[in-house]
Amino acid sequence: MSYAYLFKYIIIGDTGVGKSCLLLQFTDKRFQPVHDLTIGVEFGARMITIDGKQIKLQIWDTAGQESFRSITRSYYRGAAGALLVYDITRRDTFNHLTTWLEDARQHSNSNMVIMLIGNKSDLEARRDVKKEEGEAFAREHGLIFMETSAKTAANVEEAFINTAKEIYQKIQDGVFDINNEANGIKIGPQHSPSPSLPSSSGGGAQGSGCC
Amino acid sequence: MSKSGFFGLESREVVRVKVKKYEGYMQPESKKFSLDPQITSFEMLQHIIASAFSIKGDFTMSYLVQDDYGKEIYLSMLSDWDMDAAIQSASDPCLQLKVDAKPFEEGLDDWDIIAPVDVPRYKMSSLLERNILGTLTGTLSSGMGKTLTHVQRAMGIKVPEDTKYKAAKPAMSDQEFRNFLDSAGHMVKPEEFRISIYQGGCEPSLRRVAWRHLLNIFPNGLSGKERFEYMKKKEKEYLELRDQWRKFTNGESMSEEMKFVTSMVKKDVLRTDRTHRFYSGSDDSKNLISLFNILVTYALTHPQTSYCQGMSDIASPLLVTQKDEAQAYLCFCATMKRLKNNFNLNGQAITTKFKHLSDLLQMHDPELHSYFQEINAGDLFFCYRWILLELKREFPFEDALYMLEVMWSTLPPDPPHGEIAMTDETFSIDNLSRSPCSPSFGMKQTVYAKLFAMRRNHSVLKSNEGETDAEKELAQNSVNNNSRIDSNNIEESCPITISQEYPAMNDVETQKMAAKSSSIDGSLKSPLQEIHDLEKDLHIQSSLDTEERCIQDQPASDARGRLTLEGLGDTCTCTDENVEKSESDNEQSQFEISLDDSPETKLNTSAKATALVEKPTHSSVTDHSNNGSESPDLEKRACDFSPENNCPKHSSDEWNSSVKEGKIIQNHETDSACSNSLCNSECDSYSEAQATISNSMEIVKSVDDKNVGLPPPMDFGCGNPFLMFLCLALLQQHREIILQKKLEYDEIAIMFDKLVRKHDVHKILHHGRLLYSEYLRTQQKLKESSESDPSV
Repeated sequence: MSYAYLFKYIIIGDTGVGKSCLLLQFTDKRFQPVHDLTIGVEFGARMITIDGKQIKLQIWDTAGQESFRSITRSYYRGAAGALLVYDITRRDTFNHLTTWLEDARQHSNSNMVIMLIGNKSDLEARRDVKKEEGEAFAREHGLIFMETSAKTAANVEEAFINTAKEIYQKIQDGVFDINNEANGIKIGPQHSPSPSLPSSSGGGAQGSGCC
Repeated sequence: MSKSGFFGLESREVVRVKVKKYEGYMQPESKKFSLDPQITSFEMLQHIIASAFSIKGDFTMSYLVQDDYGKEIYLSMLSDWDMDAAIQSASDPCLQLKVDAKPFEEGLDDWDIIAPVDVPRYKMSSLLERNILGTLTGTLSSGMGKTLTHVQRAMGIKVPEDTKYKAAKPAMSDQEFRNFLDSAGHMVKPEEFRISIYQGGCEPSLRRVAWRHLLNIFPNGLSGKERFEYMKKKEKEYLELRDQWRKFTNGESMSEEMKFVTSMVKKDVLRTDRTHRFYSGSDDSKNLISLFNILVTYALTHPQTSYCQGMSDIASPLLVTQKDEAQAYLCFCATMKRLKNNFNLNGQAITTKFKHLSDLLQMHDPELHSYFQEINAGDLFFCYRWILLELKREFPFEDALYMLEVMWSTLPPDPPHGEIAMTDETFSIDNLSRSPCSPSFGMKQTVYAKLFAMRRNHSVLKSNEGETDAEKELAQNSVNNNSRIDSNNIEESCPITISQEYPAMNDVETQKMAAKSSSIDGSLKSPLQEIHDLEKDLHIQSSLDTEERCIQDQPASDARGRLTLEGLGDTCTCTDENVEKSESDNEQSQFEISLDDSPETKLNTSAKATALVEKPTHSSVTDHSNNGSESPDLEKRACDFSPENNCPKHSSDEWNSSVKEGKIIQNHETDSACSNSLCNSECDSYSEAQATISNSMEIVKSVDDKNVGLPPPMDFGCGNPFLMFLCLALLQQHREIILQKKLEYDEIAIMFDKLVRKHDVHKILHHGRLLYSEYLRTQQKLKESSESDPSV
């Protein structure tokens, strides 16, 4: 399938926050409660449409544990977007966000769009981190924020697509050098824009942080 | 076994046993016999019963006891402990057993029942009879299989995939296993044992026992009885270690480290092989808890390594196979001894393996390699899981067990010195009782950062130590004692290698099969062509001194053309004949044995060699027709296909050293290194060939150029070269799709992710064996030429 742009994403966050489940929900539209623990990195890809342009999202789902980081650090390089995920039922995963963020900022290009995701929003009863806390963190660090549920698919679509929109906007604004593949953006083999389709609506909270 | 006086009872010399067997609607059968509780293990008892009732399948045992109310009930007997209990409490006047001939857990087909006689003082005549019978029928049916295949081929019936790639030899059976033990149960033929596993794996019922040997649990020279006692002792040690940390798990006294490890392990255990019956069910099932215990005990007693994701995948099949927490723990320690570097934070081991795999791909499949470079996939990161878990997750679970044992069999026997270590060097029992490990553990850090800091400290320590040891060892082993024993005695001229080298896995059988197989998967880069290449290589080596060319670039037809020239090569090498010979001769297979260090084995060198040639009658190994032991052919065959043959002492020790991670190897006396074999005049052509090789290193280089640049086995793939070839086979299986569809990086990665647990184990092993034997042969040649020309 031809595409106008290819965006490379990475998904990061503590182990067990549901990174692989988010990916699976986005690419396959299904939820698998017992998922093999991710070793190293796994991949997913899906085509989306923004502004009438076919955009291929190439998603790198990384393992949460430090032991893989000597390898996974290199994944940051050349990523246009990152989904930083925590689990709203486990405060420690929220507490670790700073470290993840530092790590990501340190090893990626400065323009990388980061979306903060509080996952498992279906488990309201076990909530340990308030939504406001997530929003505050995002504001403070200039991230987009959203709560999702990989189980019910709530906001999953939007999380991936809103990130893409943000990247797309940055391209339009000339922030990204699209000729440099290290930015995680690749121009499709066939550059002519395909017949325009209405873009998927970006419903859900799009708390755009400061730019 | 220390049953004596356990409950203040006198030690019993003999226990009378009455057994009643139930099988479906059949009439129950009864048997009586006596056993000596001092020397009988549970495994043995199972075996006796299986033999006595000729039970072919699975069965369970239970014993009759009186409960507290005097009511008679049957309790199941599943382990040595149960058997001990039965003997202590319910064997007066006789132990009454009930045997149900059916599986105790439906569908779990890898459970273990028949284990080899660990204490072979028990020789029941019925046992022996059954052996011979079993072997005969085995031979017959395998013969029939062959005929059938021929017929199918003649009639143009397409051979189903699974038959095409079937192993060269049936899985090792219990009976066959016993051929590798002497009458007291000592493992006396570790090399042959490994070669046999390499060729066909082992039967599921044998895995439990066979894996302990493959994984180097036992020190050298234990008899069956000693092994049993050793296991009991280690089991006790394990339980003590485990109970140490378990004391602290329910309370405030847990250290940071312990909290971290337990929560991490728990999370991962709950998503490890849960689709397998063994781990299915509720989250607190017994087997999940066992897996949890193993991993936590390991992490806490190995602070240098601690816990890392991926370890649960490595431990899982061990527990499924051993079905016992303590025994699985031993296997896990043994496995981790080799694999812990994979989990090092510095990532060196993994990086090296990636590099080796990339080099290997470049040499064997330049087209695919350059395509990967082109699409920025040269890093091969999508193979990360393959390397980290040694392909455990790439095949369906049961197939992965088979793949693992075949892979382990290619590694040199590496018995522990003294006993297998259950903790690492820095561990002291206080570690478990001390709370917060380090005051620097602040909540601001991520757990990962904590672990990182923790392990970085350990790693630094460790790597320094490691280097020093390795250096010491190198210095110590720099003496080349390539002593040879010349002998006119043919039996003695069988190749004998120094212990603990990589077994010679030149898979003649597989090559034969490949050569015969009429339709070959194109994506395999045709094994047939591999053989042609080899023959061509050899031919060129002998006759075309000046021609430097690239084999890969030549089309297959060219290779065939060259084959016809073969006869003209006046300096045709021994190996050359050998390939032909082995292709024409269906039943021959090649063995070599190695000596282990025990004095007794040294004494028995020639006896063993003889035994090797005149296979015991009930051997179901591959060489049924090895009656031509006196023929020069055999001798020549023996000369080749055995890379370790004639290898200099120092290199053997180097190999060892890398595998042994810096530990000093036990004394290999020079006199035992009768590495030798073929200095007799009969082997002229071989010597000639050797001369040819040594004359020109460049020729050798041009000859096997696909493998020449590769590191030796002790270095390649960090000591596991076979894994590299299996990875190559996996990549090559899909090369056509990748190249034709011009898949991109992520598409390739996604394709391989989707293939998790779905690869065809027979195909991959078949291809991997071919590649591996070719590699070993190259290594052998290189070694020979560097020996004869030290300037190279």
